[in-house]
Amino acid sequence: MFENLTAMTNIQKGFFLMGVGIAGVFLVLIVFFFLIKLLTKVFPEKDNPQEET
Amino acid sequence: MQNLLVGFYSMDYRNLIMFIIAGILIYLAVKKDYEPMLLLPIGFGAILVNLPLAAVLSYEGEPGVLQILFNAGILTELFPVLIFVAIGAMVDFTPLFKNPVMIFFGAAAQFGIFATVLVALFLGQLFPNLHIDLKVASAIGIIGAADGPTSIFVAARFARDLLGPISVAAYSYMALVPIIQPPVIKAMTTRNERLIRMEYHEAKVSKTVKITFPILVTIVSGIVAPISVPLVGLLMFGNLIRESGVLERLSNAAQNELANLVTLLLGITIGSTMTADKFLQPATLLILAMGLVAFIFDTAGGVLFAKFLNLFLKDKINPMIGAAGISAFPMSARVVQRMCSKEDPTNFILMQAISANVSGQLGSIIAGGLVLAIVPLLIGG
Repeated sequence: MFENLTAMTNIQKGFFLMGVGIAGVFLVLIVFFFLIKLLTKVFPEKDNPQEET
Repeated sequence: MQNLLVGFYSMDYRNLIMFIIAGILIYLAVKKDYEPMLLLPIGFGAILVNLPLAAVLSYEGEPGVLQILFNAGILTELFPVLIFVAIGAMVDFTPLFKNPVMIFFGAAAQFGIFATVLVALFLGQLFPNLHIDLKVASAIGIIGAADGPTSIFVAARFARDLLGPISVAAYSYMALVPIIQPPVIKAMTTRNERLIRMEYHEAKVSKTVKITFPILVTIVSGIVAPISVPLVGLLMFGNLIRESGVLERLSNAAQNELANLVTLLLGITIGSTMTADKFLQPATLLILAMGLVAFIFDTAGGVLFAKFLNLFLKDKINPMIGAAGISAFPMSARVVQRMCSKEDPTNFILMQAISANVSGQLGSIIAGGLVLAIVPLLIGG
């Protein structure tokens, strides 16, 4: 697989980097999105009456 | 006698040009307040290394002080990584936890990095004597991360000789965000789009979330792109120190003493790479131009992504928010709110813009890590 990648022209490599790079950033941030959703659900902020007094 | 006048004999017009460039950087730092913490030391470092004999780089066969700092702090990637600890201690992810959907703009606004790599490669084919291969193009494209330490980190690995112009371009354009972004945003949006109001729901975030997040982000990033761990891991370490609530002294030290000391050394060391023979080349002009292109593509990418989302959303997003997905914090969010207030003084989208801006800080280092991981695969390194 990697042999095919190295055989590409520079422009093809640029397009590959763009496609995989953008997709990769989105994928990682999608994981973070669900991570935040999960964390805020599992650990909701509880009002602490002692703090209010 | 000749030895006494060696300083005069060693000067040539290129040194004078570098003094002028250094003077411009110092002027921008002092008079215009453009990233003064970096541009001033860079400018002075450039003066030091362009003095006759450049004794700060080497003297009588021994490395000079700036060469020692370069070897210890840049070649080892220590300085940019330490800066990440400081940035992590300064970043508050709370706005992101309150508006997690804004995280996607932190991804969309990295478009400039990859588009610029492509443009640089095209230019490299058109002008072969510029010697732009994939590594160099990637180091240039990473200016679009709008994140100085990430740019330095990637450039130090892929294009060490171009570290000076890449750093100067990265920090200069970050300072110029209030000038670069508005015309791009305006060109890509209608007035009606800029008038879109967005509801903001205040949500409370527990301390457990704030503490757990940096730990889990480090683990996920380390699994997806192990090479990004020095960037993401150290950023999140700084953030954990901040959010733990039990290391206030260390958090303050990271935000102040560490940040100041490393910034000082980083700036002057980057300046030391600006010797006339390395800086006064056609590639420098190309890098400065490509840096601007990267910031324009970043802004356009974020705005277009917001417009794309609006095709499917019932509650529309003000597309200007997309432009705040770059890492330049908090300038970009402020620019967006300023433009919004100009159209309608009663419209406030600052909190959403801040959320997108914080996401940009995550997106830029993830993008940097992915570039570091993918490029060696493509070149077979």
